[in-house]
Amino acid sequence: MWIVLERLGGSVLSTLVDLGRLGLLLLQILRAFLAIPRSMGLIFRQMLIIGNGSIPLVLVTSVFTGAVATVQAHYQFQDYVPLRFLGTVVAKSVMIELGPALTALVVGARVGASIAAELGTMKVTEQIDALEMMAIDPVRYLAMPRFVAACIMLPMLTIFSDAVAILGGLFVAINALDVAPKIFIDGLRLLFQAQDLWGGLIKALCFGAIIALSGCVHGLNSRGGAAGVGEAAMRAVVMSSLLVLVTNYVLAAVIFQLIFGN
Amino acid sequence: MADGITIKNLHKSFGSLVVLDGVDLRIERGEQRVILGRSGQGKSVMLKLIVGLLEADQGTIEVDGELVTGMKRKQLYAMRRRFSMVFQGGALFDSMTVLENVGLGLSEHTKLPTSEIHRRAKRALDMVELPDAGESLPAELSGGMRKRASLARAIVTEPDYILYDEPTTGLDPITSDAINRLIRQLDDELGATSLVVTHDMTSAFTVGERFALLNHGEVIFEGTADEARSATEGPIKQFIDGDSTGSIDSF
Repeated sequence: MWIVLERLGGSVLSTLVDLGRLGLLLLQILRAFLAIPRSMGLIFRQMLIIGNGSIPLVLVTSVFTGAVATVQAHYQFQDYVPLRFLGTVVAKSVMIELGPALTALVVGARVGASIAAELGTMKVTEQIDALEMMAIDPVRYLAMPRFVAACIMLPMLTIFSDAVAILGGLFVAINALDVAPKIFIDGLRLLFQAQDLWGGLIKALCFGAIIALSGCVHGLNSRGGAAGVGEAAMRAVVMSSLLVLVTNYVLAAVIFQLIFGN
Repeated sequence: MADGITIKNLHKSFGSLVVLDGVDLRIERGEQRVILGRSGQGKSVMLKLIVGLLEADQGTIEVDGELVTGMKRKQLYAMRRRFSMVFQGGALFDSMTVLENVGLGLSEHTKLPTSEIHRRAKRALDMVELPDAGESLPAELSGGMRKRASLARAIVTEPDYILYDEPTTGLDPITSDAINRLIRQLDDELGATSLVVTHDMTSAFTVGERFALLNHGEVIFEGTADEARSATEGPIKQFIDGDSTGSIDSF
């Protein structure tokens, strides 16, 4: 019993420490925003790594997300809901929820782990100390460009994901469900509200920040050798996934209930 | 205001492990000082304390009369620009070429044009006899080449102080000798104050003018290279001979 309580307490404490570090790192990164103009090269490099490098993964995830959303909606409609709403349901669910959340989860796994492993390796091989010795602030040089790049690229990837998912849904609707293209496309236009897209993109921006922060905080605080780096990568993915899921709910409530709600 | 490094009553522990237990040391400007000691005696920790990479628990460190202990980040960065450090594993940045590694300090802290930064970085690589390695990535270099590239990165900014953390560890005897001679030559040419941490006596006698021997967190010998070499008894004699029986514990 005591062992269970001890472990539970240890986990809670370690989570609080991680969240505290995350908050402190966010403040340091915001302070380093003044150096954005002279860090453009570093930011563009990270945008390529985070954005372009994630396109194949987002492509595959989104095609099947759109396809599944279409099949499920078609099955749920049965004969109760007219098929002209098929495109509406797919578009709304993709733009509001599936596009931003699934993109954040798959990109978070790829990019969060990669940032934590790269910075963790730099930490354990004294490369971060070498930067400090050269009077180069590691937060300004390493964390801030990754943070800015992720905040820019996650919304971009989400727009790409939304488009691919809707195309995947259209493909399945036409070829597997015998729905006429015009019916599906008319459904997309029906009840379309720009705020659905904006809401999804605001969520994506926040998810980008979470992914970069999780990777950086665990990478910069990793210890030990290869095992420490592996653990940092694992913890970064776990933290980023959990925070994306929790924040997704909070943002849904704030954006769609308080801001865009009636 | 005294030039050089003055360490007074320096203490540092990690949890219950006491690493430095009241170290007093004075390193004059322009001196080539070697810090000797068995592995785990706090030699590298002392280097990191001097440049503020670690915080001391107690005691003071002054560099050219400025108190390092308790310095704010901005002051620390200003102070570190007078220093360079050659890390044990080289600590070259994996994602950059050797030339970019060597030129980073200049591109971050000066407004020199890229062509001038490349010229200076190439000159530093020439000085360490790596004229053709500029476009290579650190992973493509041998251990000795990585150390030399790290030396080039350390000298390119023409610092007042160069710290060497185990510069010959992991290298074969011939490469070690080449690195030792290079360190000596660079120190002579640049006139920098150097502080070399090592347990390799061949390296120590090649690069050092004065020695300090650390054991159990304290300096137990301080003197010139000649005094160390001519010692007939005591801990420095035991350390030079590599004798496991004596006042310095073997474990």
